[in-house]
Amino acid sequence: MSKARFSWQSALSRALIGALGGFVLAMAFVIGAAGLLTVSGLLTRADAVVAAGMLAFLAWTIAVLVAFAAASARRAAAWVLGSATGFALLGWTSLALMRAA
Amino acid sequence: MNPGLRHSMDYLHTWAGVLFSVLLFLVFFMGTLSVFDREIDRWMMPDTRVAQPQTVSFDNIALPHLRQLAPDSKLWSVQYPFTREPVMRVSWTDGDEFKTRFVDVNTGRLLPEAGSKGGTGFFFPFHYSFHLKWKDVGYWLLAIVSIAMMALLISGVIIHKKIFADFFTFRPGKSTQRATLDVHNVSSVLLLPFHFIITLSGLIIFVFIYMKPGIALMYGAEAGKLSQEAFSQVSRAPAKESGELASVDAMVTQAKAMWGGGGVRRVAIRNPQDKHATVDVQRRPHDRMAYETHTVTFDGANGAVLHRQDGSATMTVQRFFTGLHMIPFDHWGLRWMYFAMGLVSCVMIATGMLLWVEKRRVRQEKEGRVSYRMVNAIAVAGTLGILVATLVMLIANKLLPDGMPGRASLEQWIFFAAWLGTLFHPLTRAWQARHCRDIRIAWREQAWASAVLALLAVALNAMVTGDHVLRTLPQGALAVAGTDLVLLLTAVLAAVTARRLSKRPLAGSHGTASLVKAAA
Amino acid sequence: MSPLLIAAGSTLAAWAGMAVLCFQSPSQRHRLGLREQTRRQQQGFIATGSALLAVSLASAIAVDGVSFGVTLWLCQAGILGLALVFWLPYSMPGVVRSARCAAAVAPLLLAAGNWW
Repeated sequence: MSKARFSWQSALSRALIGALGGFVLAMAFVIGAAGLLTVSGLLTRADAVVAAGMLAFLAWTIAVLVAFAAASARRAAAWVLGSATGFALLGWTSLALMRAA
Repeated sequence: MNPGLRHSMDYLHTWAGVLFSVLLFLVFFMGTLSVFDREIDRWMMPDTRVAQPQTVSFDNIALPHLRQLAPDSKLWSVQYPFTREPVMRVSWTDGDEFKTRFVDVNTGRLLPEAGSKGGTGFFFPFHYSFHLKWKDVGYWLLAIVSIAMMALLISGVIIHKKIFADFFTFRPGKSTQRATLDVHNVSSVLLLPFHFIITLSGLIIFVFIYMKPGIALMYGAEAGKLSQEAFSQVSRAPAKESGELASVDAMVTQAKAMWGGGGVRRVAIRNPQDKHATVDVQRRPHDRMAYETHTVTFDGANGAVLHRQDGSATMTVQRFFTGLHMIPFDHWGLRWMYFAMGLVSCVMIATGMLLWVEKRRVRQEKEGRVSYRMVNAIAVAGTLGILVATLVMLIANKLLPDGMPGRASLEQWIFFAAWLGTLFHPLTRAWQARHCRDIRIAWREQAWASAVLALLAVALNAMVTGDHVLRTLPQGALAVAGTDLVLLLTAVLAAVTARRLSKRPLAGSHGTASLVKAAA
Repeated sequence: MSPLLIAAGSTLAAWAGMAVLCFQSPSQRHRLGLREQTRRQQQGFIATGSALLAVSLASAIAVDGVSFGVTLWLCQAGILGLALVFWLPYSMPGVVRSARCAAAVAPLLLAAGNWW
């Protein structure tokens, strides 16, 4: 039997952070990783997007796990959305570099 | 390990399991049936039980039918016969619809309309989209369920304290809860690589759907280009002038030479009546893991090669995972392994549900609460109920008159009606005074029903089509024989399950701390 | 080479290997009422079980190539492991006898399959 006791509000917010926040993280991961792979010349644009897309499912899963493992829902949101912001910045920078090139 | 982490993962594992168990069972059950979807087609569509053709000609067999059935269609698609499907599938677009008919290549005869969706048209789409087509809702629901499954697997490993010490632990003589937990653990741990890979590969197959927002951000207004670039596709706008198709058989011969051998999976012709028609010839990936079709595109008017598909390393990885999931290759040993592992996955999910229901029953009976009866009803309907509904559909397939309008749709509605019935049944039983303390009555009765229905399906197949195991086995009609034998095995297992459920008393409220070993 | 004989040898080697690894587990031995092993004996069991599984894997690859062979072997190991676990509580002598037969017959089948 589960010994952790989340209030229903905490459980709901963690579930939303994991599911929806995780999806946002996955999309940010795609543009971050794909952008980096493309601008570095390692892969073509299409291959970079497919490679990043395949790995993004793992990022989404990790977000769900982190959402429940974190000490609080607030901390969970910080981890998930913070990581998403990081990847999004990486992607934005890469796209800017690609357009400039 | 941090006890806080284990407890939070336990919470996640429990509640994700509770919320997604029925959908997960559906996906795995329909996926298991889909391993033999073509064989189920033979069983449900008796007209397609034809001999394997020795030679196949597009020009002589498919083309005349397509010209008659779909003279103005923008897309013709022909799937060539192979070992698991001896008929040719001719398909075409008609507005928004995609229509299909079967052809017996041995005689060139267009077979009557199947009147059934069969395994490929019902069980397989149920597996990957729940038959929810509106705005791709089914695909997205599958994504959520799949991510939940991945989280369940990883959290399950984290919470299993002695995962290596308990690797081989199964104690059938202990309490029901303990034995059920052992079955749940053993079926999850020993097949953990399968569960993880099959779930991840299922997601990877649909990467182009699920990653659309990310793709839109990367590609901007050119989002449609990703598929073309990734799959190395070529397309040509129609000339809007009429043209004649060159010999497709000659193109097929040339494609086979370019591949260095191998069979044809599919020929697709875009704008077949136009001067700029294109003919895609796909290779059947029967001899490798990766689902790569090495498509050769020809100019429809003169047979010149326009393009040869070459996959990049990244796409080869994506196609490898696709092949690992969809088993397009010819390997009967692996195919039966996947079937067995799919069934074990269903057992894993069902035992997880049973554990939760049993724990709730023991606790709530002490507190005088009854909501566990509702959960039990959902558990019954979400596991055995799906089996019962499937068997009812197979029986309807034999009883509904041939040629009846809307026959295929009616078969599907019968499945859903039967499924709904398997929910009302345990609810009714739960509130009958003489049964309210025995939550197993619904499980027992649906297990007995499954046994009877499976036998009835086999009997009806023999009576209606004349094909029974003693005839189909010597004839080598292994698709039909195999389906009948699996149904017979289902009947035996369902009956054994029903008997075991009758023998074992419940723990807790009946005052037994441990259970008597079931009679051998 | 006879693929069928080698595949059968691979399956039997896997069965024997899984049984040996099962019987090296201290908690499993305790549950079955078997005497405790010394560390050396346990290591011997682990080495033997692993060797049998390695032979099984190598034969699977020899028949089907790397992709199919490894995939088939993993699936086979899982299914055989399940069969072993569910059979063991009901008949330990049966499992032991079958594992001993499998260990004896597997090399014969593999040899025969190679020379066919």
